[in-house]
Amino acid sequence: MAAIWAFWKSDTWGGRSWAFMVFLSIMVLHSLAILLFTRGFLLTRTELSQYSQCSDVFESPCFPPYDQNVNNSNRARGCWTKPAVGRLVIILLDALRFDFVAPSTFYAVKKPWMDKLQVIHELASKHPSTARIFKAIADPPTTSLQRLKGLTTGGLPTFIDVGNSFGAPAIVEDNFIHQLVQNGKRVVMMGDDTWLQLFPHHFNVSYPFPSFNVKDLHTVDDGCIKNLLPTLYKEDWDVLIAHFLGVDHAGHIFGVDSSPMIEKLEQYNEILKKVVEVLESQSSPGDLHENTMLLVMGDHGQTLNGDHGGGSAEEVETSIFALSLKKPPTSAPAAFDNSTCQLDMQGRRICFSSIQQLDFAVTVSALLGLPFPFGSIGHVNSELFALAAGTWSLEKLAIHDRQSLSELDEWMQNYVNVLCINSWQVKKYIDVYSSLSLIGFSDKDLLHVSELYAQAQELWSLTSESSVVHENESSFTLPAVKRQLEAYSAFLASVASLARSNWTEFNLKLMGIGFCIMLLSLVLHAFSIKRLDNLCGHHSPSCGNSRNSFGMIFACIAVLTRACSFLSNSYILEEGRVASFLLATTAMLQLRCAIMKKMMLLEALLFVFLLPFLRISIELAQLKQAVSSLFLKMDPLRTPGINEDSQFWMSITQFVPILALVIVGYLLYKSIGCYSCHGILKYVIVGSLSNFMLIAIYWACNSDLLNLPMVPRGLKGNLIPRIIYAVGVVQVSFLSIVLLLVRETTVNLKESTVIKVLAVLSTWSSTIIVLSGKQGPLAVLALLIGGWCIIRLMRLEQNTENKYSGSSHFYALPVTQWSLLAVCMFFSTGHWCAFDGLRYAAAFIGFDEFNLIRQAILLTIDTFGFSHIFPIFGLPFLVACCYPLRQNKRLFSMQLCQVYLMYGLITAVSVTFTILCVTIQRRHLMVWGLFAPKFVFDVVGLVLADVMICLSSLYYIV
Amino acid sequence: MISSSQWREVIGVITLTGELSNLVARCSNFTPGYTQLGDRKDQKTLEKLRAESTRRKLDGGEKEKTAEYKSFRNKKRPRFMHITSKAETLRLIWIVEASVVILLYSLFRLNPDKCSYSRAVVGALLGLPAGAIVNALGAIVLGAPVGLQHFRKTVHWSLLMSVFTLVPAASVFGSSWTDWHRIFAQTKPIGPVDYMICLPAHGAVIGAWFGAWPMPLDWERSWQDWPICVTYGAIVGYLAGMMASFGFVVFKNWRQHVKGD
Repeated sequence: MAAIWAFWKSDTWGGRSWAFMVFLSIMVLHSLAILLFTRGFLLTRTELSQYSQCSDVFESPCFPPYDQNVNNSNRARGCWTKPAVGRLVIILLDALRFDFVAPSTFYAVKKPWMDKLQVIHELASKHPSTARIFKAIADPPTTSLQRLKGLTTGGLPTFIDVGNSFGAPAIVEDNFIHQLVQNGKRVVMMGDDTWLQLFPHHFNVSYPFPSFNVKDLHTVDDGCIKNLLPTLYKEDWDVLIAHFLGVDHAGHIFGVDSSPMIEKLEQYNEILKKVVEVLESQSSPGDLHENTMLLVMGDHGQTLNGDHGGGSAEEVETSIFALSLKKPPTSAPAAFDNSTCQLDMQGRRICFSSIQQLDFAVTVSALLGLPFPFGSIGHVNSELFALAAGTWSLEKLAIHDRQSLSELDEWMQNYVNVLCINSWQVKKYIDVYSSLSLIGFSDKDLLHVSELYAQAQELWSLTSESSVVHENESSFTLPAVKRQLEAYSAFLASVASLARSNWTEFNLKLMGIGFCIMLLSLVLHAFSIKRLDNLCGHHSPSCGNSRNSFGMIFACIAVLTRACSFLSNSYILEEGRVASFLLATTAMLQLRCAIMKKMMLLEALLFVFLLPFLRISIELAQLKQAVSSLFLKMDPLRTPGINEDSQFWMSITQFVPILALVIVGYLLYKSIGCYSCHGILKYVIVGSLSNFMLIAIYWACNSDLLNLPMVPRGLKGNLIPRIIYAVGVVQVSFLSIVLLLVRETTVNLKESTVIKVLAVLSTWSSTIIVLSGKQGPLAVLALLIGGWCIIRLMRLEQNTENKYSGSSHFYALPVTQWSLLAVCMFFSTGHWCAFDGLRYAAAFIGFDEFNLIRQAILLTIDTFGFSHIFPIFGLPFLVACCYPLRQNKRLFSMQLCQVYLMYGLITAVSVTFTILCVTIQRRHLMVWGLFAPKFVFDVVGLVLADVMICLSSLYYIV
Repeated sequence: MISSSQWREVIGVITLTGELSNLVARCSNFTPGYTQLGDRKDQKTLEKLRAESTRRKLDGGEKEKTAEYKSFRNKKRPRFMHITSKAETLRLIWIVEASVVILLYSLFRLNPDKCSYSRAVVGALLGLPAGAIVNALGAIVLGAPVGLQHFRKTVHWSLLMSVFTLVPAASVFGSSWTDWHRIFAQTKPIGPVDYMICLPAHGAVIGAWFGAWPMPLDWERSWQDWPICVTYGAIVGYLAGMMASFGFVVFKNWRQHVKGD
């Protein structure tokens, strides 16, 4: 650091090492900031692919529900627990707010949508021991997919569930549906087809209905209703899931306070009434639904506007209503009853209790006697568990056969045993997770959790031993059981809170520190630009005047406008068009300036008319994005329709890229003719020319139009791309040899720099063109024309305000234009800031088999080729092309350094705003869909840009 | 003393401003043919908006709208933002505005001795399509949608912009290139007429530029379509320019008056 400080302080230009140190320190700051911010922001959780097995329970210290020895003979006796419920009917009402279910007397004001599900109130007041309303608390993100995942796995899904299913939503973790299937239960599903995406092969019978159309309130519900009642009479299932979507859709379209919503709720009331009637009519002993449980539940709530996804109380509070058709002997012990009761409008006493959605999977598994899902961190809920009669009328636990215990004590023992298994399973998951995952829990937390578990276990061994020893005495007393329960609950609660803090809460402190470091780097950046300005002023008396020019002001406005636009998701979606709008504005201003000065008219016009083409290609790329994107609304008619099937267009699309390639090659060829070239560099450029020829041959061979029959297979396949990559690698090594060995002392700086830049660009161009396919040469041509125009148009300012040449004011506008052009190129070559915006096909040009590192490199080159590699390595053109020949070398390097600093600053400013934006919008509905991918792309781009700036400072600055 | 010609200018500016604001109000607020009045139609548009919102989906199974949409959905929408037949409305505005502008500005033609009133009017009429082409090209470069279904809207919009920007200059300067250059490239207006041409024209262009800003936002309002909000921006900018030029004229007159004393 001291060395850097010395560089700052000194009045002299330190040359290449100074520049390199500055760029390096900026890069280090950026990486540090990004690292810290990412740690706080991108919540990650590793999906484990372990599954709980039936026999695992014998590893636990708890009492198994049956003897190990009779394991195989008597499967029906259950697996980890005794099955308490024979059949289960789950009616899932999407976006069920808690106040749809709870009586309106719990609220200060009765709203029109309350008290509509009367059948639930009636049941809950009539049979408090078999029917109960629960307030279910969901964990954000409260979107259906994440919630269904959470409900079935008993875990906390988060942004990045690192697993082996990249993209496909099917659940790979252990879950309750999987356990049902594994243990021979038959599952029937009807309603929302999301279930089929999550569980493609699990259901015996399924009646999926499309959930895509929000406007459609009835298709899914009507489909459910049509199939639900007949299915209830059938015997061929054990678990029935009916997922109704109407309330969710009504909320999205009309909001909660609307007549369609009330109609929907009334309709549901009718359906539920019918379902309960059917179930009750069949519930006498020996009948179909003798031991059935009905669960009516929501997956998440919704706001009054009908939105959900965030963590507000309205969104996370949903409801579970449970009805057991077999009456348990007494109701749950008062010790566990923490319900709130109130009289409703008709004077009936209605109670509700609370439950975490996290606990749903494990509780239902315990009721059905299934192994608990491996990744579940829930806690078997006592009240829901107590509702099922099966948990009471147990034959005695395997080792107890005392008659003296009251029913309540018996139930308590059973429950303690279930909790014991529960805690053992959670502890096992935590241990496996922390040993396998990428980012585990902190050691301190783990230690704390382990201590709690050890305490509980110690207590357990004491009580269970004593109960074995004193078989006839009631040593398994209530106080001991209670202590035991408390110990287990403490353990489970601490695990749940630990998991919540790791998987659903942002670490704001880390994020803040990262952001502050980013700001610091911006200050450093600006400071070094200022300093270089002063140095430059020392060296040539003609420059250094710091009067603000128009170009400077407009450049600042453009950069800041673009940066601020990231605060809105709409502008992020339209980022390419925003950039082209700003670029076009600068172009128009320059055109005006050109008319004013009556010079460079042609260049200005050319630049202005290049931009519509860029924009149209951006729109075409957006069209492609709209197909896969869930957010982007795109009017397909916005862009002129081209009938792609016609023969004419086919031949055009085959022919034009090759023509463009020929033009690019010709320009390159002419350019080496113009300059007296250095030996090695000349060979490098010639190598690129030969690569271009290979690319043309490659495309011609693969073309459908020509359909050459005689082409050997090798030419059609992977040979040519591989040769091109190899030549590219050789060229790069040549360039580094030039850097290391040749210390030329040419007088003509301008020429040598231009040649160097040409060599580097041509090296990259062949690889990038072959990766980006047919659009490649066109994009290169557009970039060339755009860059040339920007360079030529610099003259406009140079000639009139000669004073400025050399200071940052002079370069501000061209560098801004350069970076805007780079952004436009990113979008117009068919990329966008989302993971589906990566062109995966590009990674397999030249290779058929997958190799992570190789394919990642190719994909990176394709993604950032036009937006980072070309613009950054081409930046010295700005300085070299309009540099008066006689000025000194020192000033030249300083200006080069200045230009790179400014380019870096522009990139860093927009990334800083992206970071600010994701911090502000971290609870936004689209944070994972839109802001986070944008953040990832920007951050990767910034680091790449920093690396490339460092390399070019080594290479170009003399 | 204020000369009679200066009075004429002042009156001209006032008439023009009043006429235009009146026109805008008429077209957007009270003309039944061009605006939404019935609640039934309003309901239909609402449904269309909702149909569009169905495409916003999250995570495969989720039906979402954005925060912006959320915050704006429940606000009461001013009805004047709701123009159904955009091209026709624009046509009405530009025809009325063009007749007023051409007839008025031709009074102030540069050298009335050489150039007759009718000649100035003809020059302005020739300038109208030429200016429209320039404006349309500029808009397309900046990002206006291209395509057949936008063609009529773009034509009428660019004619309106032409009336705002180039037509006054065409009727006053005719084909005097130096004056054109002075006003539009160098922005150096001298007399009151120059101000009346220069400031509103620049105001209209800048207003239109800013008017394009809300277009990408996903509020799903009909006024965000091309070219409604751009036109609003242009009109606001034009009126601001008018006010400013009026202020300049009055200020200069006052200065002269004081000096004269």
